[in-house]
Parts: sequence; C-alpha cells; structure tokens
Amino acid sequence: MRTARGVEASCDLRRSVDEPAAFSEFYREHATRLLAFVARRTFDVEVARDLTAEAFAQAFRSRRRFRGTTDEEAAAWLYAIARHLLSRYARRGVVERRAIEQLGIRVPALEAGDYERVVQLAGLAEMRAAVSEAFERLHPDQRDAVRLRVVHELSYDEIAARLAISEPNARARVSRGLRQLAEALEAAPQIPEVTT
Amino acid sequence: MKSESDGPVFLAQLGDELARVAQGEAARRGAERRSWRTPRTALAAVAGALLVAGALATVLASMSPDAPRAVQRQAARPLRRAPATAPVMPGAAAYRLLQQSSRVSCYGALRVQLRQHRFPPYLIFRSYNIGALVLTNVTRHACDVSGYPALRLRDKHGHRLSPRVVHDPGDDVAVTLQPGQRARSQLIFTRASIAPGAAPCKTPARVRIRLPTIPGSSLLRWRLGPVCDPGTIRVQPLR
Repeated sequence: MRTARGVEASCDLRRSVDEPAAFSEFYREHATRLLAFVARRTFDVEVARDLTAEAFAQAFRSRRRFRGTTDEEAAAWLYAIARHLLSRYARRGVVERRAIEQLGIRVPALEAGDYERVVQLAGLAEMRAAVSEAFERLHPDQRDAVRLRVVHELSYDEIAARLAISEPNARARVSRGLRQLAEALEAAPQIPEVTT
Repeated sequence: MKSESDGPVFLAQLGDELARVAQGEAARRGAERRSWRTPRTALAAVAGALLVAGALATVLASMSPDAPRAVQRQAARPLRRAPATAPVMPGAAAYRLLQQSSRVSCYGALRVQLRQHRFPPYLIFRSYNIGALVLTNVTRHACDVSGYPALRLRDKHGHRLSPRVVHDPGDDVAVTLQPGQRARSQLIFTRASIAPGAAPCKTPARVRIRLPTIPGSSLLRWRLGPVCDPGTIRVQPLR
C-alpha cells in the first residue's frame, strides 16, 4: 500500500532497530492519534497519558521483535500493544508501567490546558453528551440497575435485593441498559482510527 | 490528522523523553563498539601470537648450525602449553585498569523479580520470612551490578509504609552478569508480632526497587506477606 512518502518508504520503526533516533519519527507520526484512541476508551485524561507513554515505551523496548516492513504494519503493531494495555487496565484498574520504569522515562505532568486539549482531541465531550442523553432516555428500571452496577459497583445479588427483583432480572436490566448506551456511543461522532 | 503543535504539551515532552532514551541507547552502543570486543579473547590472541613467535624463533635458531647448544636443546623439547592464567607482561596492570573502567552498566538489561524462599514444612510457624530480589541479565551483553537495592513499600491504598531498611554487612563488590546470569539480594524480616504490645503487622501491596548506579526503578507486587514488629527489613548486598 502506498504511504504518504512514496511506494518504497522505509519504515521508521524498522530503521529504529539500528538507528534508535528514528523512533522519534515513529512517535511523532502516531502519538496524537494513539492518545485519542486510548482516551476514548478510558474517559480519563491522566490514565490515557500513562497508557500512551507505556505503549510507546514498550514499542521502543521491543522494536526488534517487529517483523513487518511497512508503516501500516508498524501502526497496527503499536495499536496491538495499546489494546493489550487497555485490556489489562480494564481488568486490574492499574496502569502497567513496566517499560516506563525499565527505560527510566519520566512521564511528564499535565500542563494547564492539556485536559481540554485531550478532551477535544478525543471528542470526549461529544461522547459524554451522547452517553448522558442516552442514559436519561433509558427506562427507569434499567437506569436504576445500570447506576447501581456501574456507579455504585454492586453485585447482581445486591442489585436484586435493593430493587426487590430476582438476580436474573437484575442481570437482564443491566445488560439491556448497557446495550442501549453502547448503541449511543456507536452513533456518537467518530474520529478516524487505525483499524486492524 | 492534527499536527503535533495542536496536541497537548505533555505529548511533546514525552517525545523528548523517548528521544533522550534513544540517544542514550545509541551512545551506549557506540561505546560498546569502540571498547575491546572481548578483552579475554583479545589477550589470548596476543598471548598466542607471542607464543607462536617465540616458538618459531627458537626453531629457526635451532636450524642454524651456529645456534648455541642451549637453544638447540630447547628446540628439541616439546612446546609447553600456554599457562592457564594470563601471562605477566608489560601493561598487564594497565589492562586491568582498562577492564575496570570499561564496566558496562545494567541499565535496561535486567528483569527484576521478587521471590519467596522455600522453607521446609516444619518451619511453617516461623516468625521470620526470607525473600530474594533476583536480577536477571536478559540481554546478550555482560553488565555489572553492585551495592544494596533500595526499597519503598506501599500498601493497597497507595500509602507509603516505612519499615526500617537495614544493610546486612557483606561484600559490596561489583558483580558481572553474563547473558542469562542472575544476581540476588536477600531480604529478611519478621513476619509475626512476637513482642507484647507490638504495632500491628502491615502487609505491603507493592514495592519500588531502585538499584545503585542504575537510573529508574521497578515496581513489583509484594508477595512476601506481612512485615512486623516493628518492621525492619535486612537487605543483603547484591551477589
């Protein structure tokens, strides 16, 4: 596939194996978009910053294992790292920082205005508005169930006891409510993302 | 796609940090290429060359009818093996100094792990615990570590715990780790409150490890149980 630099453009990530400084080109190419990608999936600017830093740190540390030859393959490889980090964050609630620590990278603090910039980059305001609107449109039973599950982090047993319903019923209400919210997110204004 | 100048400030700063790390790696590679490739093999090559030259000179001299009898007798004897240790020759002290000054830091070369010592079953009610900080060289180059690791413990809420860290006396010397080799530092601490009225034990959730002469740190899960009474951890030097 042709890149913006021509048919036989060398891949910056491949070059960085022997010329570490070439990694800066790779970073500049993908940093902003990856940050937006992560921010849309975490809704948290600081977490997005840390995950982005860890993704690039892991990419730099393990760039010798990259087997592709094109910039597109390099981007897909980077996003695979980011997805893996997102998955671990979703399961554990903690941002992995192993590569950051091993490379001695100092993750910069957020400057004034960075929060607004990230929200704007990732379209978080539009996403939040879409979710908020969809949440208000939910059936009251589903709205209460989703609130107890997502905001108060109650178990299904506890939700069932609180709402005086059965546990399967509680699961069903939460599931339907979340599905409607997901549909609202799908319909929210999208930004171009790397598809793999 | 938005340009870099439209992004948040921290993204540009993160890029600078990555560039600094890349520059450090490039400089380290350049230093490794310029240094003796393998000092031991280079010295062995020089020693071998000297030995061959000496033997050749002896043989040539013995072939001459004017060679003294001592040389001829020496030529008749079989060649001795090269000594197992490095031959003493001018510049050996300078070579040792070069070897010491060209030590390679283990920065970016280590996998850091925290391991529980395996006790026999009859010690299950022991009042102390032993763990080990294990550093493995995961690169293809030798590097050096030394000293006492620094520990910083935190509980599950992220609050810092402050047990007293005491350095066990021992030989604080540089340890060269060949590829795949490990260095260890033992951690010994009390795990049960045995003194009346002692403060409650605290179980760390995570520990941040810093190694002497190596920038950065590693954050590990603490799986060694509670630290008690009053919370002293004895740390041994890396060996």
